[in-house]
Amino acid sequence: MRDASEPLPGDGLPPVGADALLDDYFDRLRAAAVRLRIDIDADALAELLAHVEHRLDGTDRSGDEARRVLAELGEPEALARAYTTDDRDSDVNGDFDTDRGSESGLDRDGGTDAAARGHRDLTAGSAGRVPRTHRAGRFLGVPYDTRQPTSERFASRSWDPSDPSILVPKALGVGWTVNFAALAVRAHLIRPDDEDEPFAEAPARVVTATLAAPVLAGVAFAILAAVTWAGLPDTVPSHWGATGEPDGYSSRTANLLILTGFIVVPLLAAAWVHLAGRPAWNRVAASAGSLALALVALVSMLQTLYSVQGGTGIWPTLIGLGLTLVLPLGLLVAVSRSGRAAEQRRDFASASKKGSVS
Amino acid sequence: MAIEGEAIPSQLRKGVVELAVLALLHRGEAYGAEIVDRLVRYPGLAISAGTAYPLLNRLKKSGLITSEWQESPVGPPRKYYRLSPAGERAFVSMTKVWTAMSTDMTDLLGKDTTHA
Repeated sequence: MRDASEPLPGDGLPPVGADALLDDYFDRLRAAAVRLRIDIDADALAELLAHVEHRLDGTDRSGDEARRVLAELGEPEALARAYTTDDRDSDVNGDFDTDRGSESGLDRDGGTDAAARGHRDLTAGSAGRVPRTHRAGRFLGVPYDTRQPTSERFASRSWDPSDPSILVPKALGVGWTVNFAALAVRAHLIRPDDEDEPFAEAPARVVTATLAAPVLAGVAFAILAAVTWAGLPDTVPSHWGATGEPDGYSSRTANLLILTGFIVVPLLAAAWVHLAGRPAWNRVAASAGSLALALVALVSMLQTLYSVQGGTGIWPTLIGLGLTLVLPLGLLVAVSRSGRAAEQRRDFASASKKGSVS
Repeated sequence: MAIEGEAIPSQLRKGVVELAVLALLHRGEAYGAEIVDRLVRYPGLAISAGTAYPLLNRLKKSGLITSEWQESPVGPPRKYYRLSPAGERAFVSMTKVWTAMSTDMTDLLGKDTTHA
């Protein structure tokens, strides 16, 4: 926090009146709120001012008195942050980011005022605690996030074994997405604490190999497209109604381009996450996400081919969508088990060393 | 006597359950399911696995507990949790806060209940 090391207003300066100190304090508070994108409404500010005036009532309103009263409120920045904390604490489902650790709020020195809360934020803070901003939060109970997506956020939403919620806020956009890890826990495929950090201990080659899954799906798509392209009519069905009858058509070229984009763009993003040396958690989740989207494209292609050849119904889509859930889930579970096995090897090895020493 | 565990406002429970888990681990190491099972004996503190694991995850991230896989005499290996030195210190200071608070709260609440 930038202001933490600054002295309280007026230290070392010629004597100033209470009013100047109050103005300065509230200016800094407002500035901090703007910078942190925290709403402190007019009522709350008026209440704070009234509190300060009440405390100063009957004193000589000297600089020293004002400093004493303002010190009770803590640093302006810590105070501004405390307003976020209150907001989030009042929202039971409010921890919508990866930084649940900062919510634990272990207040080791037992302080109870805003200053202590500021201190807690300081100690927990830099790990990416996100103040409630206009860019992410909830509207009418529906989560939204319009911040620039990161592979961390994507990974921690789509695979967080310690979070029992199956539906979690999307990493980008409005609504919810599936926490595959919660599904895996419910299905008894993994336990919530199998890995300290997802995939962190899995062998590097396993983590890298996960990128092969979306690549293979892409290759399958390319082969299928190459083999069938010549036999397709100029317009192909590309959308189906609930009864399974095609109700939307597009040119075969547009169809192919869109589906190719569905495979290539996520694959490039996933490859970037791998090449940029992001943590294994991000990398494996990126592979799985890319695999899911590649499978969607593959399934859409198969459904089109099936319809062109006179097939009725959308069962290829139904089976295919099942696979787009099951295959990425299988990939994630397999890597998680690999990580768990690596943790166990590590701990058993150190245990047997200890045993041989004693 | 039994307080409905889930009916207590979650914010009040949150910190207390955290201290309860630290207290449990202060007595000795334990694995996840064991922690849940042992807390079930205290109706006021009982937590579900869905609460316990996120809590253990948080405590671990903040360095208060450590974990280690150990072979189990029955079934698959288990991940055991124990307090780190920082966790022991946090436990001691949180206990002090709790003792002070609990005395004060008993006093504060006691006045009300005598009138009720």
